[in-house]
Amino acid sequence: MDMRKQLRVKSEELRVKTMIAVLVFLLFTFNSSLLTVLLASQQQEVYVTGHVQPFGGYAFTEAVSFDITAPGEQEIGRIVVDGLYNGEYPWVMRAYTDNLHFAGITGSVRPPSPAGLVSKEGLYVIPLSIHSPSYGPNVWRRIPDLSEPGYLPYEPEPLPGETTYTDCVLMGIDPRNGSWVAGPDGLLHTYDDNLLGDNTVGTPFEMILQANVPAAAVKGEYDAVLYIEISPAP
Amino acid sequence: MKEQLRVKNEELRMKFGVLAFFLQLLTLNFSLLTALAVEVEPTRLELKIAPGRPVAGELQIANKGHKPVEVRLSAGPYRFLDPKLKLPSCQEWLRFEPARLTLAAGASTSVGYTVTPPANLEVDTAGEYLGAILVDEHPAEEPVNAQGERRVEGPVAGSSRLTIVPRLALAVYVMVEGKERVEVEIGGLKVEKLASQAGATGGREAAPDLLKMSVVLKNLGSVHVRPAGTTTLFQEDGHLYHTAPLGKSMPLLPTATMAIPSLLPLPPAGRYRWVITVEVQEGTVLQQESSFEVTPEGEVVQ
Repeated sequence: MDMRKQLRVKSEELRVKTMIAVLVFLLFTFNSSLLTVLLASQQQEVYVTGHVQPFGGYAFTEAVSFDITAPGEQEIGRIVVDGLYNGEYPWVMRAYTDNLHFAGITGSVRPPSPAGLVSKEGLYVIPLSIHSPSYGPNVWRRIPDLSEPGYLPYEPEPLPGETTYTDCVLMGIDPRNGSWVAGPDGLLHTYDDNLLGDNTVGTPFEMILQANVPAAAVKGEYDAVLYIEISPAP
Repeated sequence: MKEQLRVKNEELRMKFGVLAFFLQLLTLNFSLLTALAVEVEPTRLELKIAPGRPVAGELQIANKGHKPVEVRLSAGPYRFLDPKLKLPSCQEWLRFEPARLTLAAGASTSVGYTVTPPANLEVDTAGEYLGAILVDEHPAEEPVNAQGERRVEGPVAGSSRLTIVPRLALAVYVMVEGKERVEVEIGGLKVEKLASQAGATGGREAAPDLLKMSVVLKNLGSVHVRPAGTTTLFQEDGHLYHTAPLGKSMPLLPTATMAIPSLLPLPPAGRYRWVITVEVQEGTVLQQESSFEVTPEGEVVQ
């Protein structure tokens, strides 16, 4: 590729990045339907739709309802997350059940802290997993229970690498300007692919819940409380 | 033509940089705003307590959503810091009044908290205790209908149900008066080369080799600190080569060790003097230095 063509390609690449940045910027700044912005050297009009709360906080789906019918993986619902978390970093959002403290259906015989959905009589457990857009395509993570043996909460790492925790981290932002976010200038985020944070996505977005129904589980009524916890900067 | 395209390229790069900067400002610098439809302030408590004397205060809770919510407060263990440290817990000392309340859409209120230490706190050797305030957001219960059934929010398509409860977990640090001791030491300075990795720049141009400089801090005191500081490199002739802040760190808890890395592109061959300055708390500054060489082959020898 000759120099001129290389520059043209680069120029187009930057134009696309600029447009994306403009759109994201506008989405998070205004709730307007028509905004005028400068793109490249000419004025253009960009229509923005949706209902992003500028700094209103997250809103979640309250519950999902479903039928457990057959063994295997079964999508049971989607959690819609809207708004924006602007808290001081580092912070983390994670998911877990707390079945030790969940009274559930009165009179049930409940095994100690199973992770996932528990059947009405407390005899059967259906593990849960979740997909967040921040994981990348086709990546699912198991949802643990707070009191299950071996549960190890997330601990922020100064650098990416070994992860020993069993927490189901949905998203978060790292504690410092590590190599994966700091560029040659040593400043935060100059290498960062995701300008919203190190493990975050723009909103609104959906997280998908999946039940991994074991063959031994029986058809019936199951329930649980799923906590979506945000731990602000410690 | 080539020049025009280059200028255009630079112009776009600048615009992208400015927008990225504003986006970062928007996402990082509004620290008072909190999460969920329910917002709580403050987002952490750092309290000093005297044995036998309870401490009380208030949390401001607001429902920023469009429907009423039931807010439930409880105490729990704090789970966002090194779980291996086994710091003593103040979970049992926390009480809330009211511990359960309903907030209309757009409404706000204050909730009182009391921290009551045990009577035998004086005999304990710990200087600091850690816990969490858990603020759970439940849908407000709807009134029953004429048939005595309670209307359930959310889809009711199936026989099974997963209720989703947003939760805020706020850190509570309780320091015991007379037992606070701030003592931090620099446990080592390590310099190494960090070879560039494919994809480290997310598909952008190839990343340079990096110099990774890590300072190890050990908290030998009895309370947490929030270290800040700068890292500075001098060339052999004394000229300043690089200086940068250490970046934001997690709180350094009692008995904990923390390695704080800072990175920059591998400097040209030569000898360097590295000076690290850490402010442990206001007025308490640690400084240490080390030297190393970058060889003509691009290796780092400390």
